[in-house]
Amino acid sequence: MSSSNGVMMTVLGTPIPPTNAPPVPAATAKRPMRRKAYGKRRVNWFPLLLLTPLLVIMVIFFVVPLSRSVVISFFHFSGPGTFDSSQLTIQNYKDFLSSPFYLGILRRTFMMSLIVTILCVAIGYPVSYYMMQLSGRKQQIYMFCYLAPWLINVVVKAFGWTLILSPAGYINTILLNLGIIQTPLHLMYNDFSMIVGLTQGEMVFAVMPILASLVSMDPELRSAAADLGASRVKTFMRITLPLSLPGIVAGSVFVFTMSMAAYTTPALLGGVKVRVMSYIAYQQNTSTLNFPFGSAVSVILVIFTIVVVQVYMRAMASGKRKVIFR
Amino acid sequence: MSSGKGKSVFLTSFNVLVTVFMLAPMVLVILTSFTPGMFYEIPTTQWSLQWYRAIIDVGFLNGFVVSMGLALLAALVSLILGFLAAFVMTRYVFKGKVMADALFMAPIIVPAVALGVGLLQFYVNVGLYNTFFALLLAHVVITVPYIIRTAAVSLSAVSREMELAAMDLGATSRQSFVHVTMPLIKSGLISGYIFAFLISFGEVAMTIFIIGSKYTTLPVDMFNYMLQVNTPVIAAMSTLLIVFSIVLMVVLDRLFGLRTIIG
Amino acid sequence: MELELRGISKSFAGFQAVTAISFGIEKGELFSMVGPSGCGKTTILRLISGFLTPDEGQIILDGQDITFAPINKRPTALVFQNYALFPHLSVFDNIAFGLRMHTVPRRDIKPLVKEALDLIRLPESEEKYPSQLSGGQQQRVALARALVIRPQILLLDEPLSNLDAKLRENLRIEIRQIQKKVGITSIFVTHDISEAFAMSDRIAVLNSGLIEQVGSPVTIYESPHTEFVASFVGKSNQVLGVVDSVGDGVAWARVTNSMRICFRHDNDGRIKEQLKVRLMVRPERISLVKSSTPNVNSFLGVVKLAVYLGSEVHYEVDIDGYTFIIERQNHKNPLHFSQGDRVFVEWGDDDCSWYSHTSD
Repeated sequence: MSSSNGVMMTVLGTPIPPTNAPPVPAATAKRPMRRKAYGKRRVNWFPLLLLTPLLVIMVIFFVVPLSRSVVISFFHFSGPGTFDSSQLTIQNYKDFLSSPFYLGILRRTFMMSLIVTILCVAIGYPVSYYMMQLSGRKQQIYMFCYLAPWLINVVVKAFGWTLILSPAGYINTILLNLGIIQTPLHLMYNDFSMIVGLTQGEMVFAVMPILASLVSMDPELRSAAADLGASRVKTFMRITLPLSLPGIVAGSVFVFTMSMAAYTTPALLGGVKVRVMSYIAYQQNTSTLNFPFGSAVSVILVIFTIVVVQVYMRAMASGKRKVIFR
Repeated sequence: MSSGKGKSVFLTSFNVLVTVFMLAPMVLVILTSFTPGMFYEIPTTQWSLQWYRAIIDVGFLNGFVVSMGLALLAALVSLILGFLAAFVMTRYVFKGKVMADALFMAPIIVPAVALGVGLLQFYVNVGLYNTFFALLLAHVVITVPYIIRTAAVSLSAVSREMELAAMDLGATSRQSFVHVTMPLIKSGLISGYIFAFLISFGEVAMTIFIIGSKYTTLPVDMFNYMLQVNTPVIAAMSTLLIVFSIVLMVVLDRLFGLRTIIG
Repeated sequence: MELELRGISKSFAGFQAVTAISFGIEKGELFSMVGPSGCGKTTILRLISGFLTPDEGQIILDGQDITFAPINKRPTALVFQNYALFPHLSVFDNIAFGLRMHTVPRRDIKPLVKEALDLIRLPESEEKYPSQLSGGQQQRVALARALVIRPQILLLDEPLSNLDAKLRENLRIEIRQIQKKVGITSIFVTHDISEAFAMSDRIAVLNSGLIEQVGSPVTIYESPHTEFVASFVGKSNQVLGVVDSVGDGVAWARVTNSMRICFRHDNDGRIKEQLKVRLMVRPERISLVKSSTPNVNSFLGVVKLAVYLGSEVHYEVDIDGYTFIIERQNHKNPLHFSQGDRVFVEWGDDDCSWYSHTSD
């Protein structure tokens, strides 16, 4: 604060009587300003310094384990928890890909994921459409209903389904009591229960992107279409649906990826007869301790998922639809 | 033109059904936890807390303590490291920034299975298997992306201009950070912490891979229990978890908005 | 001179933002920097406030070299374009912020803040938060926040650009009044030339990192030094000609067979015969008459367009293929011309300026 005689001035120059407090340091001090290094804002080492701890942790506990695992898949199994790192081999992959049993598991995982994806999108779309039309407050509450289950333990959700689908569960009890069926339905520990559980758990990941793309669509477009003579159905088919396609694609990719890699829900709801890829990976790595083969299974799972997703996205973005995806 | 009313009645009822589908399992779990009998039934005439008492007998308390400690600690470490990272990412430009960003966000994309496998093998071969440290670091890795995201969102809201304005008015860098930046990102940091806590607390898939015999987390305990025995004590434990999670999520939503974190 | 810039240059990642900028500002004056986007005016402001440091040059304030002084030690205060008010602090705390950072004793803070609030005419807004204020009110608070710490130089970075037209006009008068009342040296950056004209004691016109001209509004408008200034500041008619006769204080340049313009020059030897020049005359300096007046620039043309705007009439007149824009005030007994009329377009030799022609 500038004042030549040490007396503090207000903005308009009326002096304020000095107090016993130490004087306000004048910004234009008598001592000369030292040249400081502040100007050089391009201090490149500083950000890296702050990042180092995290970088170190990520590299050691994320990058290294993952890459190790991939590399290990190319070694020979030489005993529980060990492997022969002297030579590379693709035997593990050959073992997997030539075995009808394992291929069957891959196929089952794929089919299950596919069905879950279709269900999530098919159900999720009307849900998003409805949510989009809700006003702010209601929309928030409704959205919360879908978001909340995600953070609730997956075991809890699976347990809930056992209550519903078991032979002694609620559905069967009600149907038996009503006399609609004579013997309990086998709704549990099979593909059905697995699919139901996964659909419920992953629905929100289809709803969110679809909602986002619906909301970002200019509502005037629908009015414009109606003004030009389109019925509600036509408007939906020709305007709304194509424009929300990016959301559908994003949602289906999320759900598919999550389903392919799902472990807990299939394990709890699938039963012994219904095994998925992640279970094989678990079994091989923890019971048999066959790291090489276990890694190979994991790699195959990831690669397969990536390939399918890429093919899907290429297909969706081809041709006329390219315009929408920009 | 087809009547507007017709479609929305159909849509509304469909949504009601779906909502029931989404929430039914949890609702039933909560109700079943109070059942007086041995089987699964909704308590109609009598309500009992027997299954809540059973929680301790079954030994879930042990897992609960471990999960708590793990989540509290992992979220804290994540918070510190993630915040530093977000600070750097939003305030500076440097070579390799894009790659660093991809690296930090990667754990979200990588399937829990793949990470679990990798970490298991790594830990076993390196001798870290069966340690709390191993669990801790694994949980840090998977929670950090969420912290970075929430921290980055809050930090961008505090524009560089505001910090410059503070200094222009006489504040040192430190004062600018304490008086301007900190108060504005507080809610973002708390939200990030709560979110990381919830993620860690509920993590099952990856944890199952790397868990040894010495420690066990609550979700893993419940998982194993369900596979073997399966009595309504799970319902009681689940109900507690549901209430606990929902309370935290409401707080999170108020502070920050769940959608921002996830979306 | 209170503030002086000497040879200031700054570049960003290869892009030269400002080059060899030198000018001085007097105590108590409101000095504006105007120019199109990217001309470097904001860069200069940030160099003065300390947000940036120059590659070359010095900034001298009151005899002290502050070129590299840290932001918080400089006796400058900046009013940001988007206010940069602290959203988590009340209006009172926002304004008091600088005082607290300068460790002003607590008992003195309250009267200082109150006085600042009175100055910006928002005395009842202490407890409000920025989100509860309108844009204009936020801008005033930002101004108060800067003024209350009694800086030696007040810097304003396009403070009115985010406001609507009416508010802008009102607020610029208010800012000017406050600045005069307090007597604080101020630097005002804007892209709006009329804003600069309305508020400033002197103006610097910038273009692509260079100063085109520094002067009072009158000087800038009446005697622009370069083509850029002439075009940027107000409307102008410009034609190219070749000097064919040089006299004492006046010269003639031929533009077309029938257009030979007479213009004034300072006898500094720059005008020579055969020199290619650009001549500029402002639309409001031109008269339209039915019959030619002697001893002035007078050329016959045809009215191409006549637009009646109420208080003004705008004409476009074609003379030998050149289109001249003329603006006439609507006086009593106006001489209205219509499309197709033949008129004489006239102006005095002191109504136009010349520049040596830089090839476009």
